[in-house]
Amino acid sequence: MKMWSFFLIIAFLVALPLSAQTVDTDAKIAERSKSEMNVKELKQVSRLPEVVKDARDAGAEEEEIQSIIKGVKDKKLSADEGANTITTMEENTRTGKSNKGISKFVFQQKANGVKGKELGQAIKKELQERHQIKKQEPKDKEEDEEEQKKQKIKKEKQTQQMGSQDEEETDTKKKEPNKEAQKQNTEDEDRRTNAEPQKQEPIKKKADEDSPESRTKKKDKK
Amino acid sequence: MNKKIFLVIAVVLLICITCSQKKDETRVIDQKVIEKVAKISAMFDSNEDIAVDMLKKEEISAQEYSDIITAIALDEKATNTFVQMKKIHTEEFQKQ
Repeated sequence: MKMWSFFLIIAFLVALPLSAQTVDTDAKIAERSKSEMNVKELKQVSRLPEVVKDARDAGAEEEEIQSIIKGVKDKKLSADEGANTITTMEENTRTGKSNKGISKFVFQQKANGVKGKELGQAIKKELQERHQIKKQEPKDKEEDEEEQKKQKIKKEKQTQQMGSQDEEETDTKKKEPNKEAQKQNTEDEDRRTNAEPQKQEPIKKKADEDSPESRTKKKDKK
Repeated sequence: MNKKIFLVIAVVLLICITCSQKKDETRVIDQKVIEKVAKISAMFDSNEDIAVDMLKKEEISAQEYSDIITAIALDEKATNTFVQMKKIHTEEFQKQ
């Protein structure tokens, strides 16, 4: 008996999900079609695949597209809102901007009670603001880079200046011994010049001695 | 023994339920269904009343129609075929 009861419970458990998936009868369809047929919404829904295709062709993020479509499926968004958000995503990607996290923003806005055109405007604003923030970030980076470059150039200049100063110092040091050498040379030259007339006199004497006149004089003396 | 059998059966059931739910999410849409829906959506652009009549004839509810279309939109291949077929049908309807 226990086994039979188990089997009965199992059969009941199996039947529950299957019954949920069963196809509706004709009468049910007719009832639903009367109550749910909102022609405008159906039109908007039929627009969805084309819009999605355009967004995919533009290169929009697949995850974002899927989450928006699932939102439409789960009735978090209306078909029109979903289609509009996907078109704005497409426009955004065509201008080279990213749509990451836009689906979350859309669902948040929807939860806050933003609907229809207001929602579309909010999405556009959000995307623009994100782009502006992204634009500012590279600007700051550029500024930082420029400052770094300037600092580098300054440092280089300073190092160059230091190097040139050192070179000058070494040059001066090099020059100083030269000067000293020059001084010494000049002093030597002066000495030589001073010494030359002293030396010349004996030479002259010698020359005088060697000359024929002096010889004659000597002979005369003798 | 009974407890063991019950546990095994319960686990198998749970697996079956989760699998069926996943299948429902990732079910491949039939080409014929895509064609039907594409035809109806093309008709929505030209004549709404006829499109609604077509839906009734095909015994597709509004909810089913929107579910099918969202399922098509989720799948890239299905979307491409839908768009192609819709183009063909809109051209046909314009000629008529």
